[in-house]
Amino acid sequence: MHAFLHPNAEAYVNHSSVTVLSGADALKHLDRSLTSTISDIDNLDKRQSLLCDANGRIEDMVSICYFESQIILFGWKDSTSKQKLLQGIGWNEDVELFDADKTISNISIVGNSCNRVLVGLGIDASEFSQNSWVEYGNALLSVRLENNIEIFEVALPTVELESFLKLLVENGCSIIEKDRWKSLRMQIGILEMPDLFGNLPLEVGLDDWVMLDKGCYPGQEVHARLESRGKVAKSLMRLDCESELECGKLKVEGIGTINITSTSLFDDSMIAFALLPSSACELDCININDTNTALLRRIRNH
Amino acid sequence: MGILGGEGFTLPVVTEVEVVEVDINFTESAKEAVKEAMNGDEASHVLIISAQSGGCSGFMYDMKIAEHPESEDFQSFDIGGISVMVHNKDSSQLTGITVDYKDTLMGGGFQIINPSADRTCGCGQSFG
Repeated sequence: MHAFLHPNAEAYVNHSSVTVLSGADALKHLDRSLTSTISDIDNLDKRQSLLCDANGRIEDMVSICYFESQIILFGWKDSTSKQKLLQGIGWNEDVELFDADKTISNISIVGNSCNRVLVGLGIDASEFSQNSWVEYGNALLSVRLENNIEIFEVALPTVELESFLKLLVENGCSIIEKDRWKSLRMQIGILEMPDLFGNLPLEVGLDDWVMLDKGCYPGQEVHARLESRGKVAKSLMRLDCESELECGKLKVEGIGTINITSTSLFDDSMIAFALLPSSACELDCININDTNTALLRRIRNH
Repeated sequence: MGILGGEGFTLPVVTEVEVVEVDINFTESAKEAVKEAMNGDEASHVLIISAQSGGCSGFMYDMKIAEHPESEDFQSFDIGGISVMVHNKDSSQLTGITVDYKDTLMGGGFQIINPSADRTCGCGQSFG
């Protein structure tokens, strides 16, 4: 039981960008751009990966579902990734790309008794794994584990979203808005685009989403160099403090410049995710200013 | 209906591809190497040079010997009796390139020098 989680469950409709790729060469085309291999993906497999620029900086994080020879791609950048994926399709390649933002919805469900809620919908959550999707009617369900907390993910046709949410509510689940989700995801340690965009995977603890043995992809040279050196200049950390913090760069005496990427009020305290100089990451706390001390902890334990 | 069976899927708005008149140069060694690779099929086959996504810098060069494509979306050039073709969608990325061939054990083969590229990767096969 986690005190910050709802006794049953809370559901949030993600504002993700959904793209469907189809065609005989769709996997090959997508595989060339991602930081991890997907060419060996099977029906209903799930993969998480990154799209990076040539400097190795994260442009988008994607969750991939391979379903009936088509790829459903849940990303976070509205149209940037779609435009990027449209480029570089070879003259002789069979790839079609569809915008499914308005057609497929994506929900995250989290709480202390998600299973109880899902059972009410006739869904057996014990069937789920992190690496695959399970088909329930017209919906696809999966689970992800962040810091030992299960987050259930549902992808379904948008026309069925309202009735699905109604069923969740009837079974004891609350539907939450952006602010509550932000607070929850920061408590759990879920990273979203504000924490990732423009940063290196190693800096934000997503090195497990990068496969250096897959061959070239945009950013691979930079990632390989960082990995061989074994150190990065800055790392994303969680800060807990009493006073309010704002997103952006902040000069901290004795530490240097920190870059706060996300903030949220939780009860009477503040949680922030911030990129800190790596030398500061081993500290237990830092003095933001004369009156504000922040406790430091790692965000992702993997 | 299924998750993929509903109506409402739309192709994303695509930025119109800029089509330019392609200018490609081959060094003498590259011409010789292409001729050798053609192995006498010059009458029926062409060399297609293209750009695909991927590689360390965002795009990769690709060279294929293929049967003459019927499509009108290609630009064609004669390089010492060999037809070289570039698809219109790759024209703005590939115009101005010089194709060279290096006969060395390490790092040899065809090399493309692209003055339009902002960056190239160490192996020379990728550009951005």
